[in-house]
Amino acid sequence: MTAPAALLADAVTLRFGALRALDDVSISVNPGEIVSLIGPNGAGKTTLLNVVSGLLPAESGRILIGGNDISRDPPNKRSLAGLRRTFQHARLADDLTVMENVLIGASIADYPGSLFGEWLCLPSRTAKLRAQRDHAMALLASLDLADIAELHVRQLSFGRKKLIDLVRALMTSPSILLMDEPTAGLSEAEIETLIAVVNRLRASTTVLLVAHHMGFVAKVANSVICLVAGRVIARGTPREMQSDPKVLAAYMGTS
Amino acid sequence: MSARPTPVASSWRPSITIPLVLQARSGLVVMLISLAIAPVILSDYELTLFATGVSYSVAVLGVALGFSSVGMLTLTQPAMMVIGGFVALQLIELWHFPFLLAAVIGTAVGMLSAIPLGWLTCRLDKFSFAVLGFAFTYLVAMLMSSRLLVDVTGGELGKPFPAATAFGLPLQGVWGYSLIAAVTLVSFAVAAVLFRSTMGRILLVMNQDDVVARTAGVNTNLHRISLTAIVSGYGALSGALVGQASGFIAPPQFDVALSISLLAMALVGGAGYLLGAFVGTLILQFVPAFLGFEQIDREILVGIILLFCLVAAPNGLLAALRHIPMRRRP
Repeated sequence: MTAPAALLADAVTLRFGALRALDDVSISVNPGEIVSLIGPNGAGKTTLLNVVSGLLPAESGRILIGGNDISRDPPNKRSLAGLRRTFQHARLADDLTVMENVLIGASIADYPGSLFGEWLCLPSRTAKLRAQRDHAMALLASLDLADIAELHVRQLSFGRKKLIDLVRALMTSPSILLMDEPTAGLSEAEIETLIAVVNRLRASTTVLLVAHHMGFVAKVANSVICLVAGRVIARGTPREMQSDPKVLAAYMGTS
Repeated sequence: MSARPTPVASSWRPSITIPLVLQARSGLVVMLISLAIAPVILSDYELTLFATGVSYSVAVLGVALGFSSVGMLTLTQPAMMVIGGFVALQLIELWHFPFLLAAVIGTAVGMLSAIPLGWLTCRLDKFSFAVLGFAFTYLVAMLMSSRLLVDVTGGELGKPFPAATAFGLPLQGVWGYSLIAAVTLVSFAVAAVLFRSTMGRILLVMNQDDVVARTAGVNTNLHRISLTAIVSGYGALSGALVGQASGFIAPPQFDVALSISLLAMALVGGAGYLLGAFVGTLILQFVPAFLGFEQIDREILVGIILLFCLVAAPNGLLAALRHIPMRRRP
């Protein structure tokens, strides 16, 4: 008996009016695998991430995590089930510092029961908050961001905001991570750092990412799925996809 | 990748930079000093006016909490004040509850009655919720003044509110004021603690981006309901305090116009500051009463000051004061 896929989207369909944003899309991602979604603009890549994370409801089809159907779960329940995501345009609270933004991603499994301990400054709760902060600092350090931990987010570049968005998603060591165009706005040096981080995630985290940067995809992804007009047209290794005529046609606009 | 040292780990503090708690500690100190000085410099009558103003500041604090955390326009506070005030009064009159216990139960009733409103905040946009709050306050004000509840509320004429007692003796004058001042100070301190916690941070993120909070595992609906209950609890507590401070409680005190006045007090003081609710209430509630303004003149003054603040100090007077450059002597 084979282990269930870490993430399975089964015959997912979603329409925006007359437009079929996702048309009977089925993908599966095995545990520890890093799968990249590629495709031209408007192919439905981000829409698929939104459906998987629960921000958009699918009209039909199912989403399963480790064999459990989460199709009806709201985003917060999916997050507590181990699914975290980043955004195409980093969504951070500008009024908070980098550290405070990252701490939003900390585990709240014991929340709101833990609030009383926090309000009363109980030592056990204070120690836990300290541990969360230390973990956040270690993650920031892994992306060379430790020195900006106390800066306000509004002071940062777009690329750095994207990295902080990633750190926030990693705070709970998620079992599944969705990344929406993680390389957009990053410098080459930052992309190299990101490649190292994503490759290190492989041991514990299943990753589904949307990316246009084929160099990045080639270095991190086990397999690539090409979406065009809401449909899966091809799946293969990064090398196979680079020479797949259907994929090439899609990118050349002849699909 | 480099494993850098953690430069801020040593200076760790379990607090966050939510605007409301900026200078919260100094705000509480300023409040404490103001509350302590008042009985020394004010006459008995003026102290009663001050105590009433201080009592209103608790409801204003609720409005400020809702506004500064998730941008909630709370217009239901007068309704919660009348609920809290009359629940406390009933408990004191019928079962001889001590004032503090009656006020706490009144607060709890206010919080519970706000839960359906909180549920609606999850389904309505901010403007629709504000309109709904206005309608709710109007309905409660009419209901409380109606014949239906005249035995409980005294109708439009209201009822006397008995003074709190200690060791069988009524707390009057400075002692009655001290009780109100202590409860008010504690309620402000609780607000500071509440919004320094994880909950405060989550509410601020919800205000800026609901999606982020939801994808981080936050049940945003639960938070909106909880916040509405907390805000309303402050309103209900304020109602009991106003009754205690003025020795009288009547439904017309808590009409729909008061909801605008409370919002104005929060905005004038600075909703983003703990002390803002206190300052705004003193300026718009206590000072006009102290100067002997008629009701209509007070409302005109509220309008003028609000307009001035919206133009000259849109984030409130405390925010404006922070940005006044200090002159150096030549």
